[in-house]
Amino acid sequence: MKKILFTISMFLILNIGYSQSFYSNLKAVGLTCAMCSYSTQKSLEKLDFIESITPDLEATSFKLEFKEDAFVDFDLIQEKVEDAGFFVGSIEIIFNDNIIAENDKHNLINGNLFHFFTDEKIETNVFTIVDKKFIRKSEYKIISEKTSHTCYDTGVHNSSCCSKHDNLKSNKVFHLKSSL
Amino acid sequence: MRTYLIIVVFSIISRFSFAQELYINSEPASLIPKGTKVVRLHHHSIFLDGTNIMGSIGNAFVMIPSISYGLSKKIMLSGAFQFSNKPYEQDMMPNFGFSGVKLYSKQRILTTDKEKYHTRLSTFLKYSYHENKFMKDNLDLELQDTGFELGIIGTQLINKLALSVTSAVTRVSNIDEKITQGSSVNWQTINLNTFKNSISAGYLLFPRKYKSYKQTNFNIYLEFLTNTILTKDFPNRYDKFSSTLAPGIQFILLSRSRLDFSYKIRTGVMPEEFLVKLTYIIY
Repeated sequence: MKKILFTISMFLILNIGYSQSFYSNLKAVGLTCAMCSYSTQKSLEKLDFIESITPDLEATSFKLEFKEDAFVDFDLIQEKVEDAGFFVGSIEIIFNDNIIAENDKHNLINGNLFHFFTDEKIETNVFTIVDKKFIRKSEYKIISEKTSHTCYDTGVHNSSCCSKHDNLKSNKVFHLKSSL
Repeated sequence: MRTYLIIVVFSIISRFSFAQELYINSEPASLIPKGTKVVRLHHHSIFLDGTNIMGSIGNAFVMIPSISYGLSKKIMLSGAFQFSNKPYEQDMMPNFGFSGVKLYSKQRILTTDKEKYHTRLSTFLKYSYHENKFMKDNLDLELQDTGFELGIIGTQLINKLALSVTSAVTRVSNIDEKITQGSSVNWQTINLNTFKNSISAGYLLFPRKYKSYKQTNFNIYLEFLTNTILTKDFPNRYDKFSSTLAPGIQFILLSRSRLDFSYKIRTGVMPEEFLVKLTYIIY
């Protein structure tokens, strides 16, 4: 009994210190000057759901960590990069734990709704955003032909397209494909 | 031929370094970020010695404070004042004072973005008003002439090579022309249309590994600017075609300030010029 109580309390303690369930690697493109990365960072800092930004200047990429209680709006991240005059090359989402991703299925992670595309059922923690605005038209076309969910086109979750979810922080749904 | 040679030199250098497009003597096609302000202070020294420009009694000094604002991700606006001395005999003493204003707007019209291959196109409109003409036989809307300029800027990036090309038409409206009728001589003000072109390239020399915003960046630039008078009849003291070669160096401090130095070498007997430019970005 004591052992069980200890295990439960340790589990709770560990969970309290668990401040986020995913972070992102944002690859920016079109940066051709030494001030560009700083401008991009300053523009991203305006987003209140971002906890911290760690740049990799050589690779023109940014590690973005998010506030635990906030909805992470990747559309706004893209908007801020473009306000600075540049473009999002890709956004990777790295979950703290492996996720068993099933093709064309949703996962609610920390109040953020994600829709997964995989060729086969896989277990991994690194995914790339494949929503319309984040990839080439040709890639978008290939993926959209394989799904019947309208949320891939609209970016918005609704009852006619997807199953019901509770505790959603936003109706927006972002679509992910395994980076493997 | 000369332009071709410069392109070849640029592309050779570019294989060894990173592209930089914070040009000193021309604007890049890219805009400043939305909502940011850029404040600048230029100081130009134009080396007049009485022989290159008749009647000059000393160097011309020009000071230009300016501010730019990123209205949106596609529109940028700038305004500048100009202060200068009057380095000519008839001015009696070289008083330093107000000598002009400039207004500038730049609109981004096209951006294509592929991996390692970007194209940017912007158009711009400039209005300059100036009271002092330092180089009497030269046309220069930046420093001394009054008129409009309408142009297009293209910046092309292929791997590490970034080349920027600007083409513009100008209408210079403060040109004095001598009209001789019999024994009487009159001066009248006429307009001249010109066609301007420039090609610019810049490279990051240091740091070799870019790790922190605090690292000072050192960039080198080479720019080649030309001006061709389109108006059929123009005062013969002007050259139909003139060009300027402008090498420059640049320090970027704490990723938000710039210190630029450039030396302008003009064709013919036109005076040379030294330029210092200080830039600070307010986020």
